[in-house]
Amino acid sequence: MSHDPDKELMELGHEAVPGYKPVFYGVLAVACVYLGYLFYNFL
Amino acid sequence: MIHTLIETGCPPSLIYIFGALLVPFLKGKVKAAYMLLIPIVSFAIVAGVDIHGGSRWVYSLLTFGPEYNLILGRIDSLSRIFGFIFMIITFISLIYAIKVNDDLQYMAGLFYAGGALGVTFAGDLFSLYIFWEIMAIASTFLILARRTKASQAAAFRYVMVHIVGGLSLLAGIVLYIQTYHTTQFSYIGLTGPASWFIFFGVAVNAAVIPLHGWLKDAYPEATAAGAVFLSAFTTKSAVYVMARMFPGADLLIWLGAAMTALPIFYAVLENDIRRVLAYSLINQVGFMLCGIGIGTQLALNGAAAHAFCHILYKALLFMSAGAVMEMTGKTRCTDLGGLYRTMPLTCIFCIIGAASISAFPLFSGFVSKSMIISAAGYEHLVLVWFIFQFASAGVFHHAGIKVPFFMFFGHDSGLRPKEAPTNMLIAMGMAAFLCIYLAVDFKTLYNLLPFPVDYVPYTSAHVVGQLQLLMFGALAFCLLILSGIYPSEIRAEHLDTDWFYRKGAVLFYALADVCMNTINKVCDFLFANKLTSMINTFAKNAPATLALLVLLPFKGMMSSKEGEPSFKDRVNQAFATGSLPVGITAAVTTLFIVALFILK
Amino acid sequence: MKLIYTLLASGTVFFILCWLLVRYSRENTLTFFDRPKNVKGFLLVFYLSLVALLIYDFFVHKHDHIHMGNAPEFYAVYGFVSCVALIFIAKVLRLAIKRNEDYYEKK
Repeated sequence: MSHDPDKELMELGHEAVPGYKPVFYGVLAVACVYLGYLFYNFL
Repeated sequence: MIHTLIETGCPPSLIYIFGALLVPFLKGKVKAAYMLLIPIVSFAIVAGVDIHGGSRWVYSLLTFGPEYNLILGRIDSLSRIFGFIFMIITFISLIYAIKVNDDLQYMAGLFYAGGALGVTFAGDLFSLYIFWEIMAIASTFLILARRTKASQAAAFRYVMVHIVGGLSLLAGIVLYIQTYHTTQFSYIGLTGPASWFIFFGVAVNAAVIPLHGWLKDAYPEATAAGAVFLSAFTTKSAVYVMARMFPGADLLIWLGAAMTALPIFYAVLENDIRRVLAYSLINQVGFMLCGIGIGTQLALNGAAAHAFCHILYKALLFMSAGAVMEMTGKTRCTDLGGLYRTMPLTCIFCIIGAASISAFPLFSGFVSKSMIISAAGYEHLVLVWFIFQFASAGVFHHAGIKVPFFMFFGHDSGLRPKEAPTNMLIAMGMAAFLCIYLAVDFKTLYNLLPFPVDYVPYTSAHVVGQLQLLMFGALAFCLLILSGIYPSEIRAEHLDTDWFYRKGAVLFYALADVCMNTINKVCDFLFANKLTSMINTFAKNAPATLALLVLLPFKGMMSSKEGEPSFKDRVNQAFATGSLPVGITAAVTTLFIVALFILK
Repeated sequence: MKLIYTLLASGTVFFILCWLLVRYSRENTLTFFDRPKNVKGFLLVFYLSLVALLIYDFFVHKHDHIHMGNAPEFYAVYGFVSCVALIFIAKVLRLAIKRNEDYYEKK
């Protein structure tokens, strides 16, 4: 998908691909929990 | 003097500076060959110097009083590695700029590089200061050479900031010489006001937070080739001076850590590619300053090695962004994208630079940055170590992925520019090649370092750890983009510390306007209008008034008849027309003489 | 001297590789990522390499001076979380510091 190169965009957003948001939050939750566990045990 | 020059070679800084003077008189291929010869000759001279042989190119400045010498050639293991990389990068930048055909940029670039080499090899504070100012002024012209209104304004702000820094350095040097009676450029440490002034002056050039506003303000406004020069010299020569004067200063650890962490937030938001690179430059200099602050042999080695590698890959990234700017006229993420189709080589070189700055194994950042991070670990600076790891992942995020992704991949901007010109490709190729070569043959780099090294970067634990850190950072980028959470690129201004002098200057201007102009008006009213006219009137009428006073006792003798002008009017008239009766003149003169006689 | 020869030899190889890339790109235009299939393949390789890294981590002998660096999968988790935190903080920061493009100089 290309646009006219002479027209300058004011904003370049990133459209969400359906199905990725839950994956992202899932991975983030697991990572946060594990990192919290590590900090709790090692510091 | 000429005899000694022939005997001992010439200081590289002077080769650069006097060599630059000839540039405008040459044309075409001769000029190109001549310019490329300057760094080669200088490199050969410095490479031939025995680093244990003490200082060379010493000129005595004052033949009386205390002995202050100008030392232009203190070439030891610390200054040599900085000197080498400065000369390599001038060679590469000159190839990159060879088709610019703008004498202003060539001369400014050579003067600038000469100043940086002068700072690096200076052995005394006088020559340090002189070359420091040469750098500041020459670099300004690289920004001016863009010849746009924005670049003029940025160059003005740039030079003002550097004048403040330079004056602080000068004040510190003067105080230092007053206190210690020596001009030696060596370890100072943060003790007393002199060192603080010097520290502030150097910190301005090193873009230490919060004095970093000038860098992100000015560098994106420079020309394509100018930005490559700029990215190499100012901050890294400041790093060198820090390593010389303030190794082991605790303050530098925390300033450096702040510099690694804070700019990456801006870099993520920023839209202009070269401004993103400017922020990541600050971040990388933060690693070096932190290494200097830690001050162990490993940390100082790491700082020097990182400066060496950093100059190459940062120049490479600026070169690729500059090539895109030259070919498309655009530098914003919102306008670019999808250029890998027609600029594959520039794209590859940019990715190599991006991988190097993110410290991927087998790319140069890995062998140098690891030393600093490990040094922080060995000293058990736990918080600093965590900040470093955070910053490493962050660097990969903005400089490693964002820069190539938004220029060459991402959304298709519809631009189909030609591949960059051959000379630019060669310059980028050389830098890219060195980035990989240094990571593979890291022993060569380590042998150049100031202290003996027994550090091994490629252990399996380290390689895997680093790869995990980076690849999962990439996963975060990937998921954030795909789930639409990644902040959009917006054409906007993000406030930074340059706000204080850009908006502050407006306030200062208004204040100065009110105060100074009020004083001006009052003075104008009092002195220009009133007082002057009073003095004027008095001076004009003085002879007549005096004569009247003197002649007052004789008024009766000369009393006028009815109908004739009064005595006073007659005297005034006589003075105005210059027709004094001889009698009166004689009488006045006699009376003056009598008065003088009595008074005596 | 040995260094110079190594530099020249490996430099030549590097430049030849670059030249080959351009020579065999189609009509001077690369279209690799224009095909969704290729993008998917690229992402798949990427995800697989992540899994490989996670598995390989268990077979590595670690001796980090900072103890947490020795924990299994520490770097992976830390890298991911810090990048997400970076983005979230930056998004919040943008609310405070974003101004119009002509904030400093009105056009």
